Amino acid sequence: MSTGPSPDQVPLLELDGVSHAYARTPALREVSLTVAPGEVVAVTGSSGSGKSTLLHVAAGLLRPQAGRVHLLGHDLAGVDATARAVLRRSEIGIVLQYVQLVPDLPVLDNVALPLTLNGSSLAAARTAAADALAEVGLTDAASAAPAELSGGQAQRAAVARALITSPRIVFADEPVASLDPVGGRQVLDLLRGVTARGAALVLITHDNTVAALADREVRLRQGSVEHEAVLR
Amino acid sequence: MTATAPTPLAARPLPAEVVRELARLRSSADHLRARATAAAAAGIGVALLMAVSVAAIPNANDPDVYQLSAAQPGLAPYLSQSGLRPGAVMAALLLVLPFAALAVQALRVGSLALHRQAGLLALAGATPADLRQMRVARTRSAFLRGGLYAAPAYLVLWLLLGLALPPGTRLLPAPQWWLPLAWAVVLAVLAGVGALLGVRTPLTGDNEEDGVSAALVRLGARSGRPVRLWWAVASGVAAALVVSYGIRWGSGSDYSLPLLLLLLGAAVLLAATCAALLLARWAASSPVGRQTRRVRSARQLRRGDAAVAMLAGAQRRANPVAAGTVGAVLFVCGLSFGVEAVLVTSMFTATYGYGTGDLLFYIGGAAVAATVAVVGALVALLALALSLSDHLLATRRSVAAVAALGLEPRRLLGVQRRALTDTAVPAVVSGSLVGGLLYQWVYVLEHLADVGIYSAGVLAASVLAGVLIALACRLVVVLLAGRVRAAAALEHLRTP
Amino acid sequence: MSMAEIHLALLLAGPRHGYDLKHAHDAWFPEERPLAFGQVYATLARLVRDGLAEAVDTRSEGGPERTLYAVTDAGRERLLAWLATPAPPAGVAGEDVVRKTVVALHSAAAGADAAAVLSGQRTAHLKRMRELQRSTPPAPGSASGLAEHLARRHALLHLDADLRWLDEAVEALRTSAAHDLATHSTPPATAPDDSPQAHHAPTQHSEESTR
Repeated sequence: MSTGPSPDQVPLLELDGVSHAYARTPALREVSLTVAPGEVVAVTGSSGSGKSTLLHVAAGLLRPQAGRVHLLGHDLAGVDATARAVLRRSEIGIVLQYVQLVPDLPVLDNVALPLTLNGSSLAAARTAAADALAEVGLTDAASAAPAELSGGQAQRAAVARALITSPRIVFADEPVASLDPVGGRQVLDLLRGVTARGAALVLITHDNTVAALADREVRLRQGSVEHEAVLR
Repeated sequence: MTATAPTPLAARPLPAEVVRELARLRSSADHLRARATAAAAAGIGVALLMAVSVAAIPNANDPDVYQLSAAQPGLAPYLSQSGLRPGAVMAALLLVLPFAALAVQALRVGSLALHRQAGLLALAGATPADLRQMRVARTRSAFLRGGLYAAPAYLVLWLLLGLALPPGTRLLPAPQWWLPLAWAVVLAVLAGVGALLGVRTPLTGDNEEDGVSAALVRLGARSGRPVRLWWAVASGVAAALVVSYGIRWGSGSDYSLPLLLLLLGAAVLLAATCAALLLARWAASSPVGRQTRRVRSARQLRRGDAAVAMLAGAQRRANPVAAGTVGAVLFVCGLSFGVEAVLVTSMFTATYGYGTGDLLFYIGGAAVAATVAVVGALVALLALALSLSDHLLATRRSVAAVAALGLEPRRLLGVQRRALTDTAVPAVVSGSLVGGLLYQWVYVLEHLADVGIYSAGVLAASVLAGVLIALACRLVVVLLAGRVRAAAALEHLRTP
Repeated sequence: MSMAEIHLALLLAGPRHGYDLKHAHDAWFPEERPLAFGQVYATLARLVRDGLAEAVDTRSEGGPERTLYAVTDAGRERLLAWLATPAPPAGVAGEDVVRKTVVALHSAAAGADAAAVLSGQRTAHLKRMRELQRSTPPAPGSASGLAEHLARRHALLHLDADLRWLDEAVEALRTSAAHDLATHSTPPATAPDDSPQAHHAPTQHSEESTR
């Protein structure tokens, strides 16, 4: 039932005994987890089970109070906010459930953000962003404001932004929970596509049909890993 | 895939074109923030230019302190007499205060949206330094734009308050050849202050730790913790006060007048800072219970006064910085009202001391000082209105929810009026009482006059100031009515 | 059919008559058709023949003669083996999942780990759902393609419903364990699978004492 990457693969992500609490409420207790290249891992559990906290810790958005996080070879404990931001804009992709596009920037500039922030020229970043938008079928929406997009379109734009740097690992927190089945399917197919080039996808979801797309399920309950199973 | 060395994670400063693009003003809140900040900066710039111009009026060689300046004929005595000039400089410098308060509020326009935007940019990979760079770019350019208006505004003011007035009553000296130089210095100062404010404005969780998630998760951000900074300012000013006091009594030289003024300025600043602290504390802790306890009768309850009081208290609690800074400025304006009340009382009671020329001189002086105070109070009130309307925008969901629960728009306006008056009236009235009673004490000691009459004068002036400021609050709310109605639109309940 | 295993699980509580077995079965599965006495005795006979159960006593007590049956070690092993194999994620015919889960909840005495059974079932379901979603989609447009797509969605969504029910079962299991801890103030359970045992033992005793 348990699992782990095959020995010849260096894990992209490794959580070891990670704990975190908000105020006094524990959100994660001693969670350990590895994610190998090319793998789709579903992190499931009911609401309040610690799924989102796990993603925030794993992606370096939140510093765990105990335990170690190794992400793409970096021990996140020794990486400051600036370096974590650089990691976000160059090597990892993040997709969340709700608003994540900057409301004031047109869709094209939103998608280009990781590149512009990383020092690309505006022109080069926008060219790449146009390609990324074409990839997700949103060419027509390039100059629109995020508020003008439908939920599914906004989510595809967010995916385009998350994938524009060809990240080695993508974190998606309930990426389709507010979409209809067809829109959800498109977003999930786009996200799963990253495994073709050896990147990994960590999928946070409470939806069994979404979890069933993964190669492995890690089920959380009250902040602990309740069960872990290979589905492949 | 085999083991690869981790990529080094070094950040470079953003290219200028990227900063320009990202810091560009886009939303209407952005534009309002930039315009209001620029206006405040222009006000500060004009006040500084006025102070410098007045201070630079040349003296005659005669050592008499009341010697008229010959180089700038036609000026009012407050400017031409070297002994009175520091008072005028002081008045100009005091005008900086309300504009500074306006700048503080202006920078907070749309702070919730800014906060969220910063969180979203951080999510996309912006480092804390990147975010700072963008904020600095925005505030600095707004301050610079405001500074550019300072010299033209000074020229216009000179036309109105100098050239247009008959000789002997002119309130501003003619611009001198060095005005552009002074302007350049003022611009540099404003740019520096703007950059500093950009660094300081607590928009993101600058304790990097939870920056992103905090910005994403905690959207009900409160504005700042003012107390620590203000205590530092208060103790600094207090120290300056003690030092200058020591110098004054230690030296006893002819420099005593400027020193006295310095002392006075420091005392005013100290009073303002303490007032800001107390008012912010009071606003932050304004307990719902105390607000509602005043509502007693069944009729009041039926009218929803308890709800209005509670909502107004919550609104003030949510933004103690606005209540504190603006309240402090209004307190200083009140101080000046109180002092003038004593002066005016003395003119009408002690008729024997003054000839008609003297009376005109003093009334004119009091009128000028009162005008400065009124301008200050209006700017401060504007700042408060700005902060309130921004607060409305930020909390439009709760406003809409309250409206949906059945609080009619008229009551919502009542909430705004209540929140404004609860900050402004106590500040002005207490300032007027403190300033009036203190000055009356000094004045009565010096002139052996009747305490009762002066106290009555101060009381009357305080009541008048309170009524006037309450009316001004009503006026501001009438002006804000459109925004309140817009905030209460039920469609805000739908959007996330 | 899982009737044999269900009878073995029903006998775990202690030796029982066929009459008791029928009523215990109907109490476990109130939504199913009541068990016919004939079926009970036929199943028991088969179990005895296969060495999975044995007749331990025959009493008459004034009325008709009744035989008490008990589960054998072989029967216990057979039950655990059955529980260890997840029910086929069939999609439409989900009753087997229900049966296995209910039996697991009642079979702690034989060493069954209800939590493990449920989690194994969950994995089996997810695997099947993954297959349903990952296999190459039929050519769009064609009538047969559409029919196959709809059939797959039907299966997928039914499996999803099973999983949700399983989640509730897990939750109920935990709650009853926690309730048990609270009411019996026993020392904290070291592992979740301890708790069902602690919970079910007393009820089984009380059932026996009423007989």
